[in-house]
Amino acid sequence: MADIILSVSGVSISFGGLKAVNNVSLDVPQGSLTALIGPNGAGKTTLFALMSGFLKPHQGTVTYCGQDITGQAPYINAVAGMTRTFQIVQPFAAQTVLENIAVGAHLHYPNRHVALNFARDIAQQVGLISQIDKPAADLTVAGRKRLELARALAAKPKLLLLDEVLAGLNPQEILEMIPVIRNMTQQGITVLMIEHVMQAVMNLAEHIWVLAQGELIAQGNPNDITQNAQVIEAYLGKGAATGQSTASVVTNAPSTQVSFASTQHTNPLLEVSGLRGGYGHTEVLRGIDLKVYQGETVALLGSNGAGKTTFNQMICGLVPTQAGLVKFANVDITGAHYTNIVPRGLIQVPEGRKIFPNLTVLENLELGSFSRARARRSENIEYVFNTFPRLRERTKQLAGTMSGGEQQMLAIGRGLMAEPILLILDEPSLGLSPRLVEEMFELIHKLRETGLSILLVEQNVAQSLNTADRVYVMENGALKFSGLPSDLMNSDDLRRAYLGL
Amino acid sequence: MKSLLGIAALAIGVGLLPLFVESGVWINFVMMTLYAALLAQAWNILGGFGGQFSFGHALFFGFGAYTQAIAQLQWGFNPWVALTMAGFVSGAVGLGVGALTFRYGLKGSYFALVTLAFAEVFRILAVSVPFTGAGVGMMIPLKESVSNLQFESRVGFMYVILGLLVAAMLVTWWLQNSKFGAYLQAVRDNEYAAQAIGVNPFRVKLGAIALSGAFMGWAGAFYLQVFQYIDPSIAFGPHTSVEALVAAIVGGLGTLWGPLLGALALHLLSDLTRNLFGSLPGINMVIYGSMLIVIVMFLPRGIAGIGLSVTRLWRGKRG
Repeated sequence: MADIILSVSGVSISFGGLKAVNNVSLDVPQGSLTALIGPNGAGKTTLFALMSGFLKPHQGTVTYCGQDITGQAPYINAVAGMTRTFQIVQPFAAQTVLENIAVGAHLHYPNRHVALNFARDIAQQVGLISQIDKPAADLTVAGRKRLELARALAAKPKLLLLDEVLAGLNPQEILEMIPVIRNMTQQGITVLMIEHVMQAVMNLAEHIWVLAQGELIAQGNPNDITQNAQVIEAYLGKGAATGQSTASVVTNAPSTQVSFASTQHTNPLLEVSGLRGGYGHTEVLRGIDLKVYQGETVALLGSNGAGKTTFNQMICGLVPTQAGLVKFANVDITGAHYTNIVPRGLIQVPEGRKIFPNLTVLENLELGSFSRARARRSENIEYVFNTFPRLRERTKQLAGTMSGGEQQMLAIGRGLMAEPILLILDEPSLGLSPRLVEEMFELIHKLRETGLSILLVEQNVAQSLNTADRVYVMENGALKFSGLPSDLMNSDDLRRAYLGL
Repeated sequence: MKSLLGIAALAIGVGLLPLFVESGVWINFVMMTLYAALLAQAWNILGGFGGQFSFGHALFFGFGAYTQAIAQLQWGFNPWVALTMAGFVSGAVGLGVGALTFRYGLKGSYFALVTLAFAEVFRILAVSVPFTGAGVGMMIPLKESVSNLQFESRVGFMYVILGLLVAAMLVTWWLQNSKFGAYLQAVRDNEYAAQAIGVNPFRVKLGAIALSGAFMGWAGAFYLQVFQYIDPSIAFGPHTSVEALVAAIVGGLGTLWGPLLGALALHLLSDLTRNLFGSLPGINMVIYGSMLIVIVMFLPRGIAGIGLSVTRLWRGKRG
């Protein structure tokens, strides 16, 4: 067995009454690529914080390269060769990509020129070289994830802790990132990664630890873990258990496709034609035509930076329109202010949840009903609580202290409070564990059965296609495909070109 | 490199100014603008590059001014020596304040309030203790000679403040082109991310507050030499703190030229309103205040931000 580079023994920490990490012990062998998986709120990120020194454990010790580093400041650990990335990317937003990476490079190269040159090499390695002069704030999600990785790599780590570097990436981008991570281990860097993308975990990791409710519940090689009943129950969900591949999931064509055909004679609920616009002088959308009919669930797919979120923002009046027409329920709402759009019943649940962290769950829900359906607030709160029983248990909790999955439920609940006529869900499965992703899509099914019209913007291609009546694929600000999910999946060319499957 | 040439051009341009401009009013205007630019640049080192907004930079200014006065009057030092000392004393005060506040992780509004409190405490102390001249203040006798750092005309003072400002701008240039500056800006943008890649935020912030304090101290010492009088409310009162931060914010935070541009704009504005509306006492302040609001509203990145967006547009068009 190889030397142990990082060893955690019996560490525990609690926040208030909650045991976030409870008596966890694990050893990371030198030169290995291992993964830490588990449901949202299991304590994975907290464990990373304990390892890297951002938090000090109440009990237990952390040993790095044979030295006790329990509670040692993170920057000292970084100097000793342990760096980490953050689940919620933390770029130095005001600085360019190159300057961001150079901060990491300065750890070993005090000279500015040398550091900048080294940063350029790293940018080349992670595929950011064409964007080095951009301000970090202008990068897409995929770009920011790469930057997070690049900055850590520039500090020449011996041990790299990666916290969900693949979250929010589409299948194609994930495929591109896998060799980048593999390449790091080949350079001799030990990698420990928290990841929900099981495809990548299975592909990369030699050994997997599973954390649930702050405790290690299993460990072993990838094959053992996927067979482990306890892991399936707590984390993976039945999709992985029955071994359904993405393709086979999708062939179960949605049952409501017939009803979609019948509704097509009526006027569309949302009708977008020739929509153009963007930020400043950059045109993001180059002429979009899209329709959503009453009672329909429509999926909008496409890689990061394709313009999906901009599209959402534009029809909701958050980004100005330069050309084109947006009609909602037969009313022209092109360029209308969002204060006039929300009261009409076009409700968006934004990407990344965007809940109000310092308000309670109840207050968050109440805020959803100020511009619409205010009179029926109490009935609607009851409806949301029935839909999400977990929120009822947490009425008085501050929203920011809940786990990612619960926050997503709250965000959707807040949207439902306004009695939407069309609900736009922007990446509801972002950052959720496989099991919660399943739950999320079950919920979307349920909402759809109530007759609600839904526009679903997603990276989770397989599940979205399984849920949607129709699908659009956006690429570089233009629509490249529109039609039935089965048509998209049955054409190998289309699938490969736009979905990377 | 371009920035260094710019600084050299500034030094030469202002240096040659007395050859063409004889009016004492204009020389005085230039001197006061450069002085305000020094205050703003000093504040910018900590506030703009380090993201630590101090509301009490008068603390360092006051220490500089009193060091200058006490060293001359009570210890009999040459004013030039006193001037050198003033910067070091204020820098050391910066280290002390930084050690106390940053060790306990004070940030944002808490840091601002604590710095404000420090300045107030020393204002009250300066009133109470005898060796600062208490409430009466301290006056240095008029004795005009270069070796005594007192000049017959404002031209001499203008050269002194030009030298100090150029030094502050060179330090700022260094911040934009060095490991320390990169670390400082990283801490400003995201302290956690910076720590994860080996930056010690405490040490970096300490360095910044010492540098910032030192230049503020030199500005205080300069003030004393020009006006020959200091009292506790001039030294530690909020006026100087506000002047420093407003000029830096109006000019553009975290930029090399912002503080100078901000100081210039504010001085033009205040002199203009005073001359135009001098007959209606107080109205100039109303207009000055309204203009400030307009500037902050429409130029969120300061005056230097205009230049930035223009260069970006131009670069964008080419590439």
